[in-house]
Amino acid sequence: MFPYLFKRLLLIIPTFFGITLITFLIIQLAPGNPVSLKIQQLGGEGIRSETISKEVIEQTKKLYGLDKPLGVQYVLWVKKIVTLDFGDSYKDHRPVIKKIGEALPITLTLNIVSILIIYLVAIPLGLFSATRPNSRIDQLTTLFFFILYSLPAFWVAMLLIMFLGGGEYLDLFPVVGILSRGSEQLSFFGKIGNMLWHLVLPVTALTVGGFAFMARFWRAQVLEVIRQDYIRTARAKGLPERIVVWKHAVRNALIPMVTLMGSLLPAMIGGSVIVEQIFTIPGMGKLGFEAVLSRDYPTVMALAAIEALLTLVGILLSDLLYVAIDPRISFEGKA
Amino acid sequence: MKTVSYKSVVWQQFKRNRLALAGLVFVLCLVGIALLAPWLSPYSPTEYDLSSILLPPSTHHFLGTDEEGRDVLSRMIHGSRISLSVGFVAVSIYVSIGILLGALAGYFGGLIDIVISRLTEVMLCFPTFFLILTVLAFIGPSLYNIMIVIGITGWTGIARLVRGEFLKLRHQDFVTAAEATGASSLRLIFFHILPNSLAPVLVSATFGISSAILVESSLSFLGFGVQPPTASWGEILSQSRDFIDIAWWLTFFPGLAIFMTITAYNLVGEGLRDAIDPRLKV
Amino acid sequence: MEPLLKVENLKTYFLTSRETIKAVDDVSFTLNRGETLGIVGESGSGKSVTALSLLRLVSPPGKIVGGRILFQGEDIMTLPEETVRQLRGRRMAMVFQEPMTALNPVFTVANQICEGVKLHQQLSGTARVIHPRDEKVIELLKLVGIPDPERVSKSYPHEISGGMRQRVMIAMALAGNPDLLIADEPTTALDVTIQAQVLELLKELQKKLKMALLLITHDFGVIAETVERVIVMQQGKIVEEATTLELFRKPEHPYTKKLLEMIPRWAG
Ligand SMILES: Nc1ncnc2c1ncn2[C@@H]1O[C@H](COP(=O)(O)OP(=O)(O)OP(=O)(O)O)[C@@H](O)[C@H]1O
Ligand SMILES: [Mg+2]
Repeated sequence: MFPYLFKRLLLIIPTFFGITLITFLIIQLAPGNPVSLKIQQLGGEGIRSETISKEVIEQTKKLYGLDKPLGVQYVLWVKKIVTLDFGDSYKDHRPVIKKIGEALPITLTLNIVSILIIYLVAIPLGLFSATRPNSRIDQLTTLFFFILYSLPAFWVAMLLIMFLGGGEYLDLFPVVGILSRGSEQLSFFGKIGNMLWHLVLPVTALTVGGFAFMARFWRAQVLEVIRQDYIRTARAKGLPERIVVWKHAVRNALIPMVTLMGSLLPAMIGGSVIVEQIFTIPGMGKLGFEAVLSRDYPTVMALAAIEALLTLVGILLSDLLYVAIDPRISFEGKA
Repeated sequence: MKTVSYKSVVWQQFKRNRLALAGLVFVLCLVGIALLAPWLSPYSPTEYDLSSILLPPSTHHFLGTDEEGRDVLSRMIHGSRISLSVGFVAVSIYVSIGILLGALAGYFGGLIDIVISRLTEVMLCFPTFFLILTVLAFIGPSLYNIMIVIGITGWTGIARLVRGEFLKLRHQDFVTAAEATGASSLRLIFFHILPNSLAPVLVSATFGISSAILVESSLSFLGFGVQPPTASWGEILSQSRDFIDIAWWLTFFPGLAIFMTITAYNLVGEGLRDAIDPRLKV
Repeated sequence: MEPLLKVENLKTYFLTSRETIKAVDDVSFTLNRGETLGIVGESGSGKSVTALSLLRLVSPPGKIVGGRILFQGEDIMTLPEETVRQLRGRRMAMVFQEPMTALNPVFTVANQICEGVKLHQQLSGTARVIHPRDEKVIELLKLVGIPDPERVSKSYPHEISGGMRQRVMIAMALAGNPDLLIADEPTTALDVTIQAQVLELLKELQKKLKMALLLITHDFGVIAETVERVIVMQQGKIVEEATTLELFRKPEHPYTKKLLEMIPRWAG
């Protein structure tokens, strides 16, 4: 097992550096000099821009290492990544890692809740549909999944706000943030409840597409497995249909689903930019969007790196899970 | 001769799928609307009319007006041009890149394959939407930039697909035969192997158009799309956020247009896939 | 004496949107207790579909559209699904052609045999205490001639050889002490030497356990050595029925003659 793990980890290294390099180049080569932006900001705070001395510009350059050659900047940056030191935000001068540390748990909660719901709903529904292939009800659910699948998340979010979040119609759920004002005085469970209440709409918006994707994928998977010879064998043994489906079919169909989970979480985190923006949730997506808007390079670079790292970890985890749940693949065999 | 009959077989199969056919008709109508936009729209999409601000749908303004008094229907008709062109151009760009890289990797193998496969993996790890957003923030949001950025970030799927097809076809008899007659690598790649691996690419590209349209509208929604006063569906939706309490039509219609267009492309994609090979993993 | 199995005018069709494939078209035959019957025919002649029909396991678009299947006096066609299910494995068991794909890749051999044993014990009311299941699994594996049953029982299907897998399939089929064992080309996927061993095993078990055996094959060599009586199928119909000896002495139907000519000189 360990040689396999080791090899797998080694393979991750070049990919990770590829990612950091590309991010770095994109950001560095793009027009829009942070130094000039910094100066403008200072100007806005009262100092007329002509009066800014060369000294100040030089200082700013030094502060961010922008006077060094690109190669050196890159090496310095990668060195910092390894120690999780992403520098200070250009915007509020707080350490980037702190800001990410605050945002990440929120995004993770949002997305893990969404993924749980996606799996919990998609699996029984997809199974229900797949075990009645081409029946009226199967056709209806398939169509339903298809429609959900094509719904843009941000439109769903807007409709939810309009109908349930105090738009034109009902006002059942909050649409801003993850806790009500004054919720600090609530008990622990009160806080959890308050948070869940806030999560209803954003989680719904996030799950709609993912759920439909998963249900469709899962249905196709079950249909594929149900045609296999071993299902016929199981039936020929006289096993009740319940066991044929839930043991023999589901266990096999789950294998690719588990693999998918590893890449799903990072993909969803990447995709939660809009939903976080709409519902003003202070997670990674909103942080990233605002950093991009204000050209807060250290934050943008850190986010890209961390999200890529998450993707890599996700892929690694799903590889390991895959080996764990599919007896045909052994660590020894892969190593 | 073989390809002609293959195409007609696929078309026969495709025609049997009524939903897919409906999707295709919808797409064609949309193309018609986009081409004829200036003649079809009842009002100017950009001219302000301060006497008719935020009017609900009526016989004068079928889909209502926005906060500048512009006719929503006219803006949406013009907006269809943005969605469709982004879809087509961005996907054309990345299909070209994907085919090129996939073909090189699958045909030559070895070091070239290793390098291209690593690059694909790196790109796959990127939080794509965030990356697009970042790049657009720096090079400035415009229609062309959106097309280019989606184009250069979206090629990984196609590259993998083409690489797989090439690996499969590379050593088949018809290729070996052509090789024996002294055909050059270029000829082999483009005249012998590529035509036989295009079917799954076509399916994937169709789905790609729908996701490019989604990305464009998301970008416009966030203010990173085409700049005002040009109309795009995502941009109308984005404006509507401020009036969600009072002007439902601003939210509802553009979203519906995006949704229906995406659905139509997905239907066509599914129909194509089922006609070509239902078990295709695209 | 009432025959164990009596099939009358069985028709199983595949009803696709474009055409109707008459996979089994008006087939009748009987099989007595403890008897061995072979079904031969070329690929696509409807042998497998006949076998699956007996267990009512034909999956859509296939459908049994007519005829009767009397098994121990009961018409399988009219029984409720639940009754047919209890009959499967316990009174009528089946061994399939491809031992690789017919075993579930993600469960151990013991697990898969155990299911049958458990079901059988539940339905026959045999207390678990008297027959511990693990022992029963090992016993079955020994019965089908597996040399190291402990190891094999803990293996996954991909970890054992093709011949072993087919033995496991047979063990699985025997778990319910069936009265009728249907073997659908049990040796086609195996090497010649292993083929002979598995056939030998089937013959032996059939005698020892006094089961009836319905052996499906396209190989007359297999027929000659294993069964007493033969049915020849062509395009879903029975074209000839005879004892094995008669069939080889003087085949009546031209199709049978043709099939016989195609086999290599098997008996020298
Ligand atoms: N799922 C199906 N859909 C449509 N037709 C089918 C299906 N399964 C079997 N058939 C048809 O039924 C006929 C009989 O098939 P069957 O599997 O019984 O043949 P067989 O005699 O067992 O052949 P083999 O020796 O190849 O196993 C074939 O002509 C086949 O076309
Ligand atoms: Mg068969």
